Amino acid sequence: MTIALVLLALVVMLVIGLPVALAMAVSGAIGLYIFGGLPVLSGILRTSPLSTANSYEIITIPMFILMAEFVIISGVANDLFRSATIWVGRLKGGVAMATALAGAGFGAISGSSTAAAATLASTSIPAMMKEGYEPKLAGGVVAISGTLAMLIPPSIALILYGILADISISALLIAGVIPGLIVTVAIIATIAILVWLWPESAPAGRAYTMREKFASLKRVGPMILLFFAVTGTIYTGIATPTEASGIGAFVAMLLAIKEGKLSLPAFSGALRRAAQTSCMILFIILGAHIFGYYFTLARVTNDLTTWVGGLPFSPMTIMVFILLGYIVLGFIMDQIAILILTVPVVLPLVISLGFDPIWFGVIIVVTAEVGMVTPPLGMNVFVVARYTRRPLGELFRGVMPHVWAHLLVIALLTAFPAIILWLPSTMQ
Amino acid sequence: MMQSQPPANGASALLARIESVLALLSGLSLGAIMLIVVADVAMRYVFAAPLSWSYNLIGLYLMVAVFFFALSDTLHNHGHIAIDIFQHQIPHRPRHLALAVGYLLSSGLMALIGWQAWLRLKSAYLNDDRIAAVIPWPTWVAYFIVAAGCLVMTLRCVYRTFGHAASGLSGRDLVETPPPPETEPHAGEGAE
Repeated sequence: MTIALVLLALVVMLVIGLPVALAMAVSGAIGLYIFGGLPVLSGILRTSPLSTANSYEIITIPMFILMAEFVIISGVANDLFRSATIWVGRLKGGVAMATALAGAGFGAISGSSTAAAATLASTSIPAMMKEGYEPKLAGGVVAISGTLAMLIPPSIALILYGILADISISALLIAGVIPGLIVTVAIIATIAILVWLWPESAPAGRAYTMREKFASLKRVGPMILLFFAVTGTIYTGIATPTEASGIGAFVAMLLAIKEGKLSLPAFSGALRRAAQTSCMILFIILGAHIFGYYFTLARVTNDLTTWVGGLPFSPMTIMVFILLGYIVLGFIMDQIAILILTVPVVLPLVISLGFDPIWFGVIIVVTAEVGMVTPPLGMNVFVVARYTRRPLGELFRGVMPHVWAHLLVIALLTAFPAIILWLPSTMQ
Repeated sequence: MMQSQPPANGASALLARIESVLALLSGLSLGAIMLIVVADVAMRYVFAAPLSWSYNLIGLYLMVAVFFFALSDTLHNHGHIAIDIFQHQIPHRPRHLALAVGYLLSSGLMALIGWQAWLRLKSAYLNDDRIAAVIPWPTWVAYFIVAAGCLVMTLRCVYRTFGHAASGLSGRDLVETPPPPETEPHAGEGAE
C-alpha cells in the first residue's frame, strides 16, 4: 500500500514538472517516513547527501562536462566536419556522411549528445542546405549523429551507469568504442540507401585533391591529441578515468587558449555551466539514493527480481521486454533520469538472469539514444529544429530511417554480446 | 543549455545574488579540481611524487562545494531537469497549486538535510574532528558547505512555494517558470 502511495506521489510530482531530483527525493522521503518515522529518515538524510558528492571518482562527470565546454568554445569541432567533407565529399550524399563521421569524431572528445547535435547542426546543416540537400535528410542525419557522443568515450551516460552499477568505468568506456563505430557505419549505410532510393534528396558529390585532403588533416590534429589524451590513456591503463578526465579538460582548455577563444567571460561561463550541469546530475543521484533506500528497505527490488525470475520466459525474452521498456521511457524522459531511476532496480534483475553488466550498460545507452530522436521528447531533434527552422514533424520523419537502422544495431548487439565485450577484454 | 533566468521580483533577485556568489565558488572549485588533478598526474609521472593531499582535498571539500554551492543557482535557472512535456497541458490553477505543494515538501526536505548537516557541523567543530590523513583536514568545513548550500536551496524552495501558490490563487504567472518545450513550430521565426 505504501509502495503504491510513494509511486503515485513520484508520478504526480514528475507530471506536474517538479525537477526529477526533487520528485525522487521527496517521494522517497515520504516512503522512509512512513516506513520508519523521523529517526530513519533523518538518519539517511544525515549521511547520504554528503556521501553523494564526497567521492573522488565522481569528478569524472564534471571534468568531462568541462572538457566539452572548452572544446565547444575552442571551435575546433567545426574543423572536424570540414575535414570529413573533404575526405568523403566525392560520394553522393557525401556531406551527410561527413556529418556522421564528424559526429563520431566529436563524440570522441565530448560526452554530451545535445552538445554534439548543436555543434553539428551549426556547421553541417548550412553546408548541406547550400549544396541542395533535402532538409529532411540533412536534419535527420544531424540529429542521429549527435547521439554518437553518448556512446563513444568519453560518455557521460556510461560513466554514470558505471557509478550506479559499481563496475569498472574504464572497461565500460572502452566497451562503447566498437558499438559506436557500428552505429556510425549504420548511419552512413542508411544515407547511402536513402540517396539511392531517392536520388533527388542529395546532390552529386564533389571531389577534392589529395593535397586538399592532407591539408585538412592538419586542423584535426588537436582533436586526435585530445582523443588519445583521454581514451588512449584509459585503454592502456596509463591513467584512471578520473585522471584522464582532468587531463582532458585541461588539454581542451589549452586548445581554447591556443585558438584565442578563451576570454575571461567565456572561461567563467564554461565553469558555471559545467558546475550547473554537474550539480543537476549529482542532485538526481542524491534523489535516486534517497528513493533507492526506501526501495531497498521495502524490499521492492528483491521482490521484483524474485517475481521476474519465476516467470515462465527465457532470459532473452525478458531482456527484449526490458529493452522495449527503455525505448518507451526514452519517448518521455531524459536519458540521465532514466538511467538513474531504473538501473538500481533493473540491474540486479539483469545480473540474476545471467547477463553481463558491462554489456547491459552499453545496450541501454544505445537504446536510450533512440529516445533522443523520437517524439515527443527527442532533444536532438529540437536542437536541430532550432537551427534549421523546419517543422518538427518533417525532421522526425527524416530521422525515422535512422531509428530503424538503430534498432537493427541493437538487435545485432543483443544477439552477439561479444561485439561489446571483446575490446574491454583486451585491456591491460 | 541553461539560460540566465531574470528574477521575477525583489525577493527572487536578492536570492539570485546570493546564488551567483555561491555559483562562482562552485565554478572556481571545479577549475581547482581540474588543475589539482593535472598537477597530481604530472607530479606522479615526472617526479614520482604524487600530491599526498589532492585526493582528500577534492573528495572532502571541492566536489562538495561544486555540488552544494550550485544547487540553488541551478534550480533558479531551471537547470535541474524536469519532465516538461505534460506540464503545459495541465490548466494554470491546478498546475501551480500542485507545484506549490511539491515545493513545500521540497522545502521541508532541504531544510531537514541542512539541519542534519548543521548538527554535524556543530559537533565536528566543537570536537575539532579531523580526517585521518597526512594532512588532517577538519571535517566541519564540508558540513558547513552542505548546510550553507541547503539553506539557500531551502529559501529558494520556500520562495517557489509562495510564488506558485500566489500564481495558482491569482490566476497569473507570479513566479519564474521554465521556457515551454519546443514541440511546436517556432513562433519567433527569424528572431535570432
